[in-house]
Amino acid sequence: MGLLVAGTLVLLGANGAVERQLDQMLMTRHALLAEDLRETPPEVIFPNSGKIQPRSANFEALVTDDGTIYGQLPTETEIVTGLQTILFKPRNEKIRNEHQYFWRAYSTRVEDGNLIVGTRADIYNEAVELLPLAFLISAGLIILVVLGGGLWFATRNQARLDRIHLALDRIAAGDLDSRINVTHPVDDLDDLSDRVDDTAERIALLMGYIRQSASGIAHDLKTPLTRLGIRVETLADAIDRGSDPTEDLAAVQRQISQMSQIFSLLLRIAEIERGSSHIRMQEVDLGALAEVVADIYQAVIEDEGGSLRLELDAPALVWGNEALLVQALSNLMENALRHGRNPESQRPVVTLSVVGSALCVRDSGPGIAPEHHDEALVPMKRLDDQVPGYGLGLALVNSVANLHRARLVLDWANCDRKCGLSVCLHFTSADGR
Amino acid sequence: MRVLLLEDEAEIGQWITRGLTEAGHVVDHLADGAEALTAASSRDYDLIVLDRMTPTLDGLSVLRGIRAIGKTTPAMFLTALGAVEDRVEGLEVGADDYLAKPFAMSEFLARANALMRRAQMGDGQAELSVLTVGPLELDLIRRNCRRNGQAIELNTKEFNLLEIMMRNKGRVVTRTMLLEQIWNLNFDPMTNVVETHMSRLRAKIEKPFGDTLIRTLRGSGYVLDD
Repeated sequence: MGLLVAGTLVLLGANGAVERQLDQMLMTRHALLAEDLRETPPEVIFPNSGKIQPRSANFEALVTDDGTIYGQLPTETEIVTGLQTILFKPRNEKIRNEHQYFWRAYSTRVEDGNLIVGTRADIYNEAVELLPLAFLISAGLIILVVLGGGLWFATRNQARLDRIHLALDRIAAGDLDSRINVTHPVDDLDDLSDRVDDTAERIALLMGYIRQSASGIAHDLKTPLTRLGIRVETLADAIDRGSDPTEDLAAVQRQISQMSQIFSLLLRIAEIERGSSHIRMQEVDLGALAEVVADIYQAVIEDEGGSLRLELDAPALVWGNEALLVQALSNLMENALRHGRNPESQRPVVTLSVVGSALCVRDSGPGIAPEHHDEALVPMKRLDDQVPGYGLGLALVNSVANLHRARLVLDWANCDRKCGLSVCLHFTSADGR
Repeated sequence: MRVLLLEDEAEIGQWITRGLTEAGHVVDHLADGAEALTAASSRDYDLIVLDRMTPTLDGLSVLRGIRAIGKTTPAMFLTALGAVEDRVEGLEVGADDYLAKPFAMSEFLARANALMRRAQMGDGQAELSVLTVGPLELDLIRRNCRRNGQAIELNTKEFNLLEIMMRNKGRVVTRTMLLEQIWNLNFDPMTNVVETHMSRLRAKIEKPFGDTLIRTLRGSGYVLDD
C-alpha cells in the first residue's frame, strides 16, 4: 500500500515535471526564432510555408498582421497568445489514435505579427505513459527482492532460533554442556546466543560448585563429626569416672566451632553468589584497603618469622563492597600464611601490592601449577591435604571477584623458578577504566 | 537487670534464659513478635534481645516499633542471618549489637553485659580521659600508658586493645568482640590475629613486671582483672 501511494505521488510529480520541461523547450525555441526574425526576413527563416504533415514532430510559423503565414501551421483554428494545446484533426482521414493529433504550442506577438512554435503532444504523453510502466516494473522487482530476502532471513533466523530453543530445552533437561556455539557473532541474535551460552556456562559452574560442595561438605564433616562423637564418648566416660571433663569439653567446643566455621563460609559464598542486588557497593580505595589488611597481618607474619611487604602504586578507586573485599584479601593472606612458606626457610615471605586497578598477593611457597588453577577455585576442593584448612579460601575470593566483575588471575610468583603463588584481582576502576 | 528475650525456638530460648538468669538477670521470654512489642512498650527493660525471624511480627519490625515510640533501650539481634548486609540492616533500624547464630554463651553474655553497662553509664555522663585499672593507667588524650608510673610504649593496635580491656575490666571480652571493635572484621580469620596482638601487649604490660593482668579464658576470650 505504501509503495502504491508513494508511486502515485511520484507519478503525479513526474507528470507535471515533464509538462513543465516541454513548455520550457517551446518557449526557448520561440525566443531564439523571435531574435532571428529581428535581423532576418521571414522568407529566409521560413522557406517552406504551408501546412505541415500530421506526422511531423515540430512546427514554427509567423502569422503577420495582414494574414500572411510564413512557416507551417498544423491547424487553421485561431491561435491564442501563450501556451495552449491544439487539436489538429485532418479531414477525411481515419484516426486511430486521437492522441497523435494533439499539439502543444506557444505563441506571442513579435514585431510583424504572431510567432508560434509547437511540438506534438503525444511525444510528451508517451514519456508520461512510460512512467507508470517503469514504476510498476521497479515496484515488482522491489517486491520480489523484499519477499525473497524476507523469506531467506526468516528461514535463516528461524533456524537460528530453533538452535537456541534446542539448546535451552537440553539445558532445561539437565544437559548443562549443551551450547549454541556461534563462531562469528554479527547481529543481536548472535549476541543473544552468546548470552545463552554464557548463562549455561554459569549454571554449569554453579551446579559444579553445588555438587562439589555437597560431596565436600559430606566428606569434610565426616571427620569432625567422628571426632566429635569420640570426644562426647570420652567426655561421658570422664564424667562417669568422676575425672575432670574440662579438656574434653574444650575439644568438643573446638570441633563444633570448626564445623560452624565451615557452614559460615559456605553460607557467605552462597550469599555472594546469590548476586549483587542486596550487597551495597561504593567507591573503595584499594591502597587503603591493602593498608588495613597489612596492618592486621603484619604482626602475625612477623611472629611466624616471615615478612610482609606492602607495595602501593598510584591511588586506585574501584566500585565494590569494602567488607567483602577485606574478607577476600584476608583469605589470600591466610592462604599465604598457611601455604606460602618458603620450602627452605619455612618462613612466609608475602608481598601485598596494588598496581593500577589490580590487587595482588604473592607468597614464597611452592605455588600452584597452572593445570590445577581451576581446581583450586572449587569450593571444598583442597589441593594439599597436609595443611589444615577447609578448601574455601580461594572459592570465596573467586565469588567476591565475580561479584565485582573482577578478573581473578593465578600465576607463579616467581615465573623463572616456577614457584610461589601470585593471586591478582584485576578490577575495573571506579571511573570505568 | 531485666531482659526481654524474643526467641521462637523454645530450646534456644530456654538456653539463653538460663544463661542470663545464672548471670543474675531477670528474663521475660516471649516467642511472638507482636507480644514482644506490647511488652517492650508497656514496661522498661535494661536490654532487649531479638531474633530476626519470629511469628506475627519479625524482629526488625518489633525494634522499629520500639524505636518509633521513643524507647532507647539497648537492643541486640540474635539471628542466623549473619551476612554483613543483614547486620547493617539491623543496626540501621536501631540495634546496638548483632550476634550471628551459632554463638557461645560466653560471647553472648559478654556482649549483653557490655550493652547494659554502657546504657547504665548514660549518654550524658562525661567520658573519662584517663582509665585506671589496678597498676595500669591509660591516658586517652595524651595516648600514653603507665604502669606504676613507669611509661610503656604501645603502638595504636596495642593501645586500642588495652583500652577495650580496661573499659571492660573484670568482664569477659571475646575474640569476636575484639575483631569487630579493633579491626572492624565481621568474620573470623583462621589465623591468630587477636592472639598475636594480645601476646605483644602482654609482653609490654606484664612481662617486665613479672606478673599477669590479663587472663585468657580458653574458648571464651580475655579478662583484665580489676
